[in-house]
Amino acid sequence: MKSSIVSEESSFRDPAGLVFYKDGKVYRQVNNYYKANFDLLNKSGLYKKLLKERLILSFKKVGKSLAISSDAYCVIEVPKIPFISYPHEWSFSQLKDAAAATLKIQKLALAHGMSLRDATAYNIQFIDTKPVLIDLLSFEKYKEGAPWVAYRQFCQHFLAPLALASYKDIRLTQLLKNYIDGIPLDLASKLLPKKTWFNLNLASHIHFHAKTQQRFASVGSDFKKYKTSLSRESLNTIIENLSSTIRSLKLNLNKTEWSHYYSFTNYSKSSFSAKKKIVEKYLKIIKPKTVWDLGANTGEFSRIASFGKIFTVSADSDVLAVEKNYLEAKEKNERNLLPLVVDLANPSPSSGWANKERKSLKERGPVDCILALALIHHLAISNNLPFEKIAKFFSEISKNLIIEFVPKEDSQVQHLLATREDIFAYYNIGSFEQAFSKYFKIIAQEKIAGSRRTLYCMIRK
Amino acid sequence: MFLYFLLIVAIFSFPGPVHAYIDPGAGSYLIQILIGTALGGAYLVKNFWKNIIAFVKNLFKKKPSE
Repeated sequence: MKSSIVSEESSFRDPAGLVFYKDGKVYRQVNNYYKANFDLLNKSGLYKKLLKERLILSFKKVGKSLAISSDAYCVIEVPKIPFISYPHEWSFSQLKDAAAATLKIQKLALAHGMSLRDATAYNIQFIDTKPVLIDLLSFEKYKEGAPWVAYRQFCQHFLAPLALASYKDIRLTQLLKNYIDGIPLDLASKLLPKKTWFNLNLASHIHFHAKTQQRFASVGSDFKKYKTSLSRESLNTIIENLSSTIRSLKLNLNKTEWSHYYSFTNYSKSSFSAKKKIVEKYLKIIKPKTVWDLGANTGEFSRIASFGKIFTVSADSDVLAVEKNYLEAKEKNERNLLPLVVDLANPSPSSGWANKERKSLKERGPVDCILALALIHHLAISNNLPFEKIAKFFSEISKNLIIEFVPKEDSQVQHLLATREDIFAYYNIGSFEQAFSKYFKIIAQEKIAGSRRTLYCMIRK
Repeated sequence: MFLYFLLIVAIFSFPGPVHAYIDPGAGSYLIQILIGTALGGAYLVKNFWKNIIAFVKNLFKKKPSE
């Protein structure tokens, strides 16, 4: 029986190696091109140090026979990351922490005679709320006098979106969805308010940086005329400066409708805990290994799963709710939880070269179970989605479903209908059950005591 | 024909940063050097004053030798 090898579609730019999957495991082939640097990563003690600081993925060497091409130096196995997320799906603080981690890694690298060859945000993944470098082939020997080759990339992937979110609007990190190599600096420079020109750090790393990029875009053979060496001390100072610049970027937190959600619900305290108990019960029936909580808000119900040691993606379209969720998880050092910004009405598309480099939400599934609590009315009413379309999509991304039906009489639905014509004659529990029964089998249902809502436990047909 | 020859010569004599896996950008290298030099200078000045202050503090801490 031939076991299938699948190459990672986004792993092609680097001659140093490539990632592939086989039999459910994740491997990285290290090519001969990278032999010296890979050995130095280990010999210099950098890898050990980064592992100790929990800044890098662990690896173990496996048989060279697993290599998928002839220029392999060795093959290593790395742990499988439960859910790959992308920078545009991160909240402000997640991006900020990823930036800080990248700089810390670069600082440690320099201290061990190495330097990062690239500083793309896609090299970082979150494992239990900690940003971790997943590209083990990202280091090269530090050449005395060489400027940081990844400086431009760092400014575009991290500094620009964070500055825009801090000074202009939190939603601007979403620009990363469109710009796969970070936000162009001239665009960031144009969008940032004039007062940032008076911030020495932002003026240098973004505004002047953008100007010199444009000025020297076609420098050609004149390049040699200019001094192109940077002392180690100066380089360290730049890294320090970037660190403190990142640290200084903060959000002006404003209240949104939904972060007040749990104080202004139409639940009494007892019906809230009744709902929790039913969700717990249904999770015990399904026994999922992974859960996606869609429309999770600040993750109150996600935590029922994550505390039960189930890996849970806690997704919401409200950037601030995800921010609050992440900050709480980070502070309490929570495990098994990954808060992410996902707009279900327009989930992350497949993107990059040939639309294959970065996977859509659907391609990163199917998940064992979805929690769709207090969600259906937003999809059906605010987004005019018929029940059947919702059911079909859920069946494509998940094997099981815990879903809450919110009837029209519910005050939250009345709120949504307040300013529009009620064209939802079909919106009732009967048609809900009928539509979902096309794709799922309802194995349990229960009315939440003290409310008009019903919770369902469903298995995909 | 001669123009093509010139073009090829020009392309191959473009120095660029060697062995760079990603394009660091000529402008990015230059601004980095400018910032690094400026910061390095500021750092030296800061350090200079720190050393002066530490030296003066030490003078006042010194006990008369027994």
